[in-house]
Amino acid sequence: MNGVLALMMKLILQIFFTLAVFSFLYRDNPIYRLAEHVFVGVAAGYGIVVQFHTVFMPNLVRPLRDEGVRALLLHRQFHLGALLLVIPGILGFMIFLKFVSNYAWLARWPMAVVIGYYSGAAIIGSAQGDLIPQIQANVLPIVRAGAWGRFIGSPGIFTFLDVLYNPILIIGTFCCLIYFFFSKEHTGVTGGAAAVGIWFLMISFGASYGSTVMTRVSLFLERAYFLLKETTMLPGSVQVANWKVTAVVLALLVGFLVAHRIKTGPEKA
Amino acid sequence: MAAPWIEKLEGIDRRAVFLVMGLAITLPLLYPVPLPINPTQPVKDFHRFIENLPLGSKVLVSDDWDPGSKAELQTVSLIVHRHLRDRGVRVIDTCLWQTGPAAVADVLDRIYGKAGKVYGEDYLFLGFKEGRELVMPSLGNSIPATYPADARGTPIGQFPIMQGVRRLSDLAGLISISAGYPGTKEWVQQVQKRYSIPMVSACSGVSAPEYFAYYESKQLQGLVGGMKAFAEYEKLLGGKTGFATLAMTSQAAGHYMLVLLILLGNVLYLLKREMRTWALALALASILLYAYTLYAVSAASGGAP
Repeated sequence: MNGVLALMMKLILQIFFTLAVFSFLYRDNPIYRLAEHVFVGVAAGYGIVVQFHTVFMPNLVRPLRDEGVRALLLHRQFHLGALLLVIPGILGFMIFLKFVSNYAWLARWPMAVVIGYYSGAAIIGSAQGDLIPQIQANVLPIVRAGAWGRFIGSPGIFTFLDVLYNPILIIGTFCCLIYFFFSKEHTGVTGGAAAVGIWFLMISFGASYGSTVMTRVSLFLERAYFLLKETTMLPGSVQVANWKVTAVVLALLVGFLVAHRIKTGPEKA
Repeated sequence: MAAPWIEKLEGIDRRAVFLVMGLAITLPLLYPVPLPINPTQPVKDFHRFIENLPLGSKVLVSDDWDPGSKAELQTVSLIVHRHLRDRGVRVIDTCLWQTGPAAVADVLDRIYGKAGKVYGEDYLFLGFKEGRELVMPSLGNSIPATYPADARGTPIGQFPIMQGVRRLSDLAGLISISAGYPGTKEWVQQVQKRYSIPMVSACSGVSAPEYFAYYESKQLQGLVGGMKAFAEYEKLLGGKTGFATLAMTSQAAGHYMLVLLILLGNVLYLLKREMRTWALALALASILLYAYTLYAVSAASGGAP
């Protein structure tokens, strides 16, 4: 019985919070704000627990306590690596000094360590994984190997586009770079190339926008599928069609919002 | 002065647009129409990458997503893991997103656990590790030093799957299932070139255009980006299709409606500027385009509307 109740409660909460968030599409309302606050609270709480159990305890407290301090005091074993964890521990603690106005400046030290470490890693990564391989990938023959042969063998739109593939890539890269070259005024040939670069950039932004739309539609679609098409299996092989629960929750939600509107009056422009 | 009906249409409540878009996406979900799905080259390459992995070989799958991107990334994660399981590939899984491990563990349980695969022998979940892209080169140097224990707290040296695996280069490949940062981009930057590990990526639609540069430069050997690509991958796998294929009709309808609204907005703009000929030309071109698309879709899906 408890299992059924727990699963039904889970289903109702899932549906309620999904509809609560969707309700913002109509207008801001107390149900939406409740969902927003619950989400922020749960996400923060979950994050703290995960960090405590996966970072603070296994990376600092346990090794320092067991391999460092306890081994030294009980077994006279000196593990320098474990004892040195005191340093990141102190640096971590120093971040919290930001809340003490007199010592807030001390929080800059750990931040300097973090920024320095991340910057170094990011620069190496960008150079090794992005800059050099991308330059190498753009050193290309003007026309793809065999493209002319394929076009002459079977003329058509796709074989013709295959011939144009490398020229478009080379011209696009060159013109986009010219657009971001600010040491010379964008007039004459430079201006023309920069204008072509703008077109390439706009097409690229259009492709990104199209992909973003696909992602947003997917997000809505998954929720719509959950609300309307999925079934939830309860213990004892009992199946509940989600759309029935959705209809009930939606009716209650709309009822509450209408009642709230009547009580508080129409919204101010 | 524009005609009153143009003013009226221009000032239409945005909620009407939401409603139209919502219906355009939801109705095909309830009444799906089979659409033609033709796998593209990046998806074929991704599929071939897994097909070419030897039986019993080990790969690292980095499931870098969380419930916020579940719609896309859980869908593709299920497909990729199903493919790996059916090919007999052994999987070491990680998650670099703080709120992701529970959702990833659920995927692994559904795909491997329920199929009778042995945890620690056929698959292993190392769980979450803080450090974002800094974890990646650390895995390249030593996996046991980075993850002394798995997600359940058991030392990873106890698992048969870890025998002979010290660092990333001991594995047959890296599969990044990525919703953003940290994800495919960081794996490519920090690991792929430095440790010369073959890599493919399955990512959200938002990230795909950025990652195509890595596919073109051969840093990624295959790329599956966005719901359309997931449907193509499902088609390549054959058998029972899943959510990605079902979603295609809704995706198409949503996109058609969006483009229609953009075209309508432009026609209204031209009419407001008294450019009637251009407005008429654009409207006619739109009607022809939509008529042709409907005809092409109808022909390709075997006469269905």
